[in-house]
Amino acid sequence: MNLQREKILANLSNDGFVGRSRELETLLRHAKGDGNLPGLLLLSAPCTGVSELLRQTYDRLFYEQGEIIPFYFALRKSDQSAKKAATRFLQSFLQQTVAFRRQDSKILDASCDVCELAELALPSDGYWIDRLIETCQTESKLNDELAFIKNCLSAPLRALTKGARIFVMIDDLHEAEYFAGAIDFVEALNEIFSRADVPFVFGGRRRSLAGSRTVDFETLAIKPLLFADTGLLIENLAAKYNVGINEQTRDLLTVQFNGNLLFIRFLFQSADEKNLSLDSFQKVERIYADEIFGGKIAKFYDAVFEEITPKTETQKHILSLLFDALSIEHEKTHVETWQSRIPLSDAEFLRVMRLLNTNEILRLTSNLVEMMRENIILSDYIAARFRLEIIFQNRALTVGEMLSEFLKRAPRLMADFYRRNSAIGLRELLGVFDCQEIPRSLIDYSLFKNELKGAPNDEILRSFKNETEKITLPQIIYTAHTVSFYAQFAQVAEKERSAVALGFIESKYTDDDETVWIAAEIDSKLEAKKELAEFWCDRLEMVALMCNFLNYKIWLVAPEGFSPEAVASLQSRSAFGSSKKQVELLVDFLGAKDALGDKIKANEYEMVVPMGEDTELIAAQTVEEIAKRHHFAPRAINQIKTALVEACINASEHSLSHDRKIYQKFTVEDDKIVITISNRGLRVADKKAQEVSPDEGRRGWGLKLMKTLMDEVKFEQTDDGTRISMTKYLKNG
Amino acid sequence: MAGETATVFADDYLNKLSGEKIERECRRRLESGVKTLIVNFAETQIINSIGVSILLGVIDAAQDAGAKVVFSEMKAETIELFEMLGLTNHVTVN
Repeated sequence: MNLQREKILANLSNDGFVGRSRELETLLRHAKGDGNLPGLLLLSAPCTGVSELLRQTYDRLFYEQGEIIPFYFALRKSDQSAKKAATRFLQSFLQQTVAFRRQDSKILDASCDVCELAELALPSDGYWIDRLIETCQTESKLNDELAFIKNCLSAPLRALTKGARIFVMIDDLHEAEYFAGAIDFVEALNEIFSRADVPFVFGGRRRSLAGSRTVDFETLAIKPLLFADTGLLIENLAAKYNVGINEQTRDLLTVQFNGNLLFIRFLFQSADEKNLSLDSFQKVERIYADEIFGGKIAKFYDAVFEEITPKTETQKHILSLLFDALSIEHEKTHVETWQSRIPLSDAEFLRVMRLLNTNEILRLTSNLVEMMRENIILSDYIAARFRLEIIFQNRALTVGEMLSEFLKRAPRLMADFYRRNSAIGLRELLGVFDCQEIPRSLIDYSLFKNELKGAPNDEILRSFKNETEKITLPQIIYTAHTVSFYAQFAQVAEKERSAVALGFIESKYTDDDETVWIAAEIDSKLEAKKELAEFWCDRLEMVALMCNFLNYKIWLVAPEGFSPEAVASLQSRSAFGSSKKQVELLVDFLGAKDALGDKIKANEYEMVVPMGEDTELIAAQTVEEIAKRHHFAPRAINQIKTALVEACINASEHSLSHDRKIYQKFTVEDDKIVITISNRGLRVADKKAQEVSPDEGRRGWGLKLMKTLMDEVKFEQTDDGTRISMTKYLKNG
Repeated sequence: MAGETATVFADDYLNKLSGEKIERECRRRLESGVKTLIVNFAETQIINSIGVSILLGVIDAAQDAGAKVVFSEMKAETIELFEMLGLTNHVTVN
């Protein structure tokens, strides 16, 4: 038996599968019966990697060879009907079961019919597999299509009665929307599995599956990868396709592609095919433009439109409407407007709109149609097709103009990202207000300034405990960015820097108890002056007026707080004004760091030193300063320094590096410091990465020292060198 | 040198260069008949593995010459490091 960790259904290696470990663990726990309900619904936007997640789950369970037999099935448009899909379902089920039982994943690659699979089955499974095939064949002959489909789909549940615990994962359920025929595949599946008391997973597009069908399911919404994880994935792709990138283009790709993993891969494939690098904004946008004008991304969307409606004229009508929606200020239009401009029967129009919504080409809510403006790539694709196919603009001119637009947009995208990232997260912070009582000086700048400004954190925290003047925060039930309530507010503030929170003062849930907090983060290098505070109060009061908020509270946050005159003005309006420091303390006080996501970053330091000339001492002195700053004890600091010196010597001695540089990164988190030393040049062979006894005469102590002095040491071979990661925990130091 | 005892001072960073300097000095003293070799680490702040390997060479050379090696005025961190690597089994620590 070959149980090497080769990929079975997964497309990515274990190392290459980043950012989904939490979801993978959830699925594995669910497979083992740890879910609250048998059914788990995975809901995702297109191209966010759900299929890979399920395939990785399959591989993990296959290699575990435990009691649970994994079964993964993905619907395809090419199935065309429920019957064909059900037939393939049964065949896949038998093939995967036999492969698992025989511990031979190669069976999955063979094209076996069901009779061959029955012969391959282990004797203990042979009887029930034969019976299953027999039943399906009989019903097929009787021409009872629904009975046949149900029999096929219930095969895993039948297997359960014979002692085989199958974990069913059915993917791409939204593809059933394209099936012809009267039988609803998903409904049949729901009917069968609603009676199941064994764990199973259904996955597909969130807008196709979310709805009445979810009643008896737990749901797991698959969100786009986090910024850092997408960056890691891009680095992996760059290495895989041998395409040069730099940190700037990596981040641009992360922002511009907004977690669309498939399209990111397309871009790297394109760069690889053209033998081009992606190490400048210009190169990125040039290859991106190629993708929009006839590349893989264009072909992907072409196929989506083709599948939704193959009629060219209908596609043109839709493209015109989408382009109009992109161009006008008020982005929502009535469905009736669309129907009047697309000459289709009612039923066909509804089908087309439903599929456009499922594929997230547009957003269909409450009889209103909205363009997916946040999807930059889709917007570019639509603009390109509109200009070429609807208004017949010259192709060279269109490509040239749009490429120029892409290039001008790139730094703007990054600027927006930086602003977003630096926002303090008022919306999230308001969201965790839950009737907590807080010291007034946490939110009232004048009190804070008089009593605590400039004091050390521990003194401030002690003072909070003793403070008698308290404020009870409201219980917040709903938050949104202010621009969502009042679009014109976008003219004065960036979306992320202002929020509105609806709630109740004392959780009495009466009209009198209702309250609204309207908050904004404002800029001022010094204490904000009265005029500035009044300007913002006026704007936020306008929001309250336009939204008919009767009982509201304004809260302004300025980096350095407010001048005495500004404070007086705020008090006259019963508004709160806080400094950024107060907000940081409030986040801590409310335990809201998790809610604010990864805004609070680990401390990271980087330096490059040349090899030789005792430069490791410079690195050692640097790490000493860093470790001192993060309260490591002198003994631990000495250990860290010695280990670092050894890592530097290791890099200098063994690498034959041509650039003679040692790259160092020191990452400090709450409980540890992680030191990463890397160099280019000859790599450490695997055997040398193992525990080494000092048997090289008197030399060879370096590894032993590093491993003894630090809590964790990891050696990695990179494509062109070696990387050593060493961790020291604060509790041990 | 006082009688058959000699003291050699280690630098603040005990690495290849300063280790070899100590080694040369120690060998010279051993050749002149010294029977007790004191290596003083009062100034030593940090030590690397190459420096340690050179000290091992000094210990071997002293044993061959029938001399005793004493490590003196070591900081706690230096003692810990030498203990970890087993050096203190072969020398006297003052």
